[in-house]
Amino acid sequence: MFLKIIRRSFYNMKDSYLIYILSCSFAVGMFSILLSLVDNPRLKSGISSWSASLNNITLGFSVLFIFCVFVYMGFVGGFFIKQQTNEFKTFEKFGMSRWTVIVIGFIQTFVVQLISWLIGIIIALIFQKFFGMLLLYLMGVKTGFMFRFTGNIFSMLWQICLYSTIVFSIMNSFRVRRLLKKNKDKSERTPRWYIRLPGGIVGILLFISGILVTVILFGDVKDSNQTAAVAELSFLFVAYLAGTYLMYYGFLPSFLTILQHTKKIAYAGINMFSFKYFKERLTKNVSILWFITELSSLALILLSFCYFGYKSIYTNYAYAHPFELTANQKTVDPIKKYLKENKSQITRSYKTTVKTTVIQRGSNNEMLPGTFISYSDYQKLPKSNIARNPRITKKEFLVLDFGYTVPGYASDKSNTAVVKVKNAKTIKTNKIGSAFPYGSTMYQGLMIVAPDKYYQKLKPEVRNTFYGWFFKDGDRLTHKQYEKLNKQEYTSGVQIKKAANLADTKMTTDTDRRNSSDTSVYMDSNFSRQKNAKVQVNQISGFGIFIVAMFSVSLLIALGSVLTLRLLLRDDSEWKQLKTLNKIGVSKSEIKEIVKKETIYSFVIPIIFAVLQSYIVIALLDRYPKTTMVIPFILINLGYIALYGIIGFVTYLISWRSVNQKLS
Amino acid sequence: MQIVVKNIAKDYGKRFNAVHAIKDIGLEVKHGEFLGIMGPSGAGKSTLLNIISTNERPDHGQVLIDGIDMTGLHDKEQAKYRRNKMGFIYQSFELLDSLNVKENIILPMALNHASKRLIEQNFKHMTKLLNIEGLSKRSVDDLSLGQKQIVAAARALINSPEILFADEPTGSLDSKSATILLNYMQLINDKEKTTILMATHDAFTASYCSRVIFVKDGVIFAEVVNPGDRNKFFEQIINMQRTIGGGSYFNVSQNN
Ligand SMILES: Nc1ncnc2c1ncn2[C@@H]1O[C@H](COP(=O)(O)OP(=O)(O)O)[C@@H](O)[C@H]1O
Ligand SMILES: [Mg+2]
Repeated sequence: MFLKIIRRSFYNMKDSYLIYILSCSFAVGMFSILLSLVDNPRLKSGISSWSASLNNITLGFSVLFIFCVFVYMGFVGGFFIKQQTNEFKTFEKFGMSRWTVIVIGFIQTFVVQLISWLIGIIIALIFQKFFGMLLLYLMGVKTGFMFRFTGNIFSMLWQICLYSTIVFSIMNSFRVRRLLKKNKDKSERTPRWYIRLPGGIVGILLFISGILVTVILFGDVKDSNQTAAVAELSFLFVAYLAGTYLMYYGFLPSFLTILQHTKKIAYAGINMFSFKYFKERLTKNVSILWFITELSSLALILLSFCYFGYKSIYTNYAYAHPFELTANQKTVDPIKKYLKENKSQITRSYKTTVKTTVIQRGSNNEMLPGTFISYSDYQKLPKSNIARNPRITKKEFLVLDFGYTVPGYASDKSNTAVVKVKNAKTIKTNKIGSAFPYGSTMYQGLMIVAPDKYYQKLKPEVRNTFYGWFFKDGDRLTHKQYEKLNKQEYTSGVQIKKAANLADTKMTTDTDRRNSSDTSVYMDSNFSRQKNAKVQVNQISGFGIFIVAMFSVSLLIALGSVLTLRLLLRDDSEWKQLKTLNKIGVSKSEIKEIVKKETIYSFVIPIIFAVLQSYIVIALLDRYPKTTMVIPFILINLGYIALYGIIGFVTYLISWRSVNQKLS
Repeated sequence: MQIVVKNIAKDYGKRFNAVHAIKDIGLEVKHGEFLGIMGPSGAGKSTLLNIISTNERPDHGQVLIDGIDMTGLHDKEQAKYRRNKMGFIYQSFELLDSLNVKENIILPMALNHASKRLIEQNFKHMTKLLNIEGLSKRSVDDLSLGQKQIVAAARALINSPEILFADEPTGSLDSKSATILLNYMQLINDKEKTTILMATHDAFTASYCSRVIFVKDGVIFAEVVNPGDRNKFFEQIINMQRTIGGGSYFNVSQNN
């Protein structure tokens, strides 16, 4: 009897259970894989430089992941209990003791959870190797991945499974108990319009003011007005959260009510029914729609952050290492020797002499080394090294600097740099770039490209020559060789001896590294090698891509399945109404239309508000010119919407399938 | 003939515990006829009505309406036919919970994109006639069974359908409301030549018909034609019920 009831409930909701179990198993599988990667020896040996922190990071992510999974399971598990309200009540009416009904609820949940975990762990066993290989591939680590699942991990997974299953089953038992106790109170479920309408209006106002404040935020972040920005962000947080909820709660139902009272629209065809039906479904799902909107916008914001974070790592790397190998006048001889020894095949080599003197920039008159390069030398450099900088004519100055947000640096006109130079004319230019042609680590302070005449006249404190090479098949430097290059004898730098004014300030070459904590000492790199940095950049970004992809796919599946389940789980009266419509002459294709519209609204409305909210991210990421951010941002949004749309479409198909089955 | 039913059969359930709801029924209904279908509970009355009204497909046989083979039509065309030509009073009312009484009643007109003015006009007429003007703003959930049935009837009739299907339309009504409804059905049958197919197990209700067929165990058992005098017809029906036997099934109404 018991088993029969449980079996029937599984059968009746088989589509929904299938979706739930699949998404849970996927999540459990991902979690198990992450957890098992924590102490995988191959992952440790492949990454020497940061393997210790990698373990902790992976562990941290798996804890975060399983936490989200638990929230999902707890939340969605309740849908199934709610769905069976009528059945449970009938069981009780038929004389089943309340306890028995509660036990039925317990067993149902227990079985579903256990199955999800079992499938999840099997998924992990099957796909661990695949994901491990994927991770190593993304990180650019060449060693092969080895399947490894320790008993330790197994017993840990088993314990988490058991405890969580018991907790969720008990949770659902409580839900059943509350269901049986509660008598239906209709007036509580559908608040009147005079509560909804003001709520909705407040919601809209909040949301619109949120959008306006985002625009203001742009300005404040740009002027680095921190207190204002923090205040605006906290306002945005409240306004968007509350505004969206109130809008779903108040505005959309009121809007439908107005449509429904506009007889011209409401009296035309199926509208009379569909408006009311949408409204009923909407009011039941307000908190879910809200939940999905906010999570989606969070996901969009995080994705954008990750993308731009990745990009900034990458640009830093490109700025630091434009040549495969770079040397200065101190290291050029040994490097040339090594290259000869190693029979490295040089494809292109470059050489530029530069002059360094003291310069002053910003309203605080900060003194820095400024390295000058002549216009004609600059033009001889490879295009790829200077392509990111603005173009200049032979009479213009170009200032290369990361510090363009220094207050007062830009003079009266924004985007105009003013740089005072010792014993030379003050430079004023609106050409500001940040691609240092020999890499940003080879010289400290600013680099300035000057017209040839200015350059020739300039009396430098220090002179230097830079060398850059490209190779076929890499530079072939051995570990020993580049260890040697780091030695003291090859080290160089400058020290600024400050005086009251720029003319009296002196600069000397300083080769003593012990002074390097002194803020007036600027140490240069002895050489710069692309390959070293490349490995680490690849590893970090590969790991990042792996985690971000995993989280976003899981999030997408979670959000999608919540919506799908909400749409699928219609209660008895909703089913009956669709059937009745068919009986009095509404064709199936018109009912299909209702199902379609319902799916579209449930998916489109949250994504619209989510996208509007996620626009904050452009204001917050201040590193880049806003215009260059728009396209990646749009692409990220489009990608998300596309995936989300696919889920919506599948939902529609499943939803219609289940309606169609019940109709015939 | 407006409706021709040719040898239809319908089974429910799986092979071994199948229920033969209709075994073999053939039937012809003239345009403007008021046909009664009588029989004990479970005889297959509702199933027969559902098949003729295209709500269900028979396993065998054909249903022709106005010479068109309904069983051969596509789902969409069947729905269109139901919407445009037919009115339904279902045994289980089939009202929509989401809508209030007024919206339930005018829904068939809205589906046909009737003008707002016409909708309001018909609605007023219908509610006045059936004495339910007070209910129009009420929620369907709160109505009594009798009220629900009368609302269902109003919905079926508001569109002036060509064919009316009524499944136990007076089953939940008090005698006054029942008489009002039946008189109205007779009126539209007379004046507008509406064809009516009505299932009932009540002899008084059946006495309004022009012809009554008796169904038992999925086949037509007998037929009685109205001789033109309702009291006499009522007697004939009662007699026929006795002959069929199983009289205990029948709930013989005494109010006439
Ligand atoms: N949807 C259905 N599924 C299974 N059996 C049904 C269904 N509808 C009707 N039946 C069976 O068919 C027989 C005839 O039912 P019905 O036409 O409703 O009888 P009546 O309306 O004369 O009381 C009954 O035995 C009933 O149990
Ligand atoms: Mg019946």
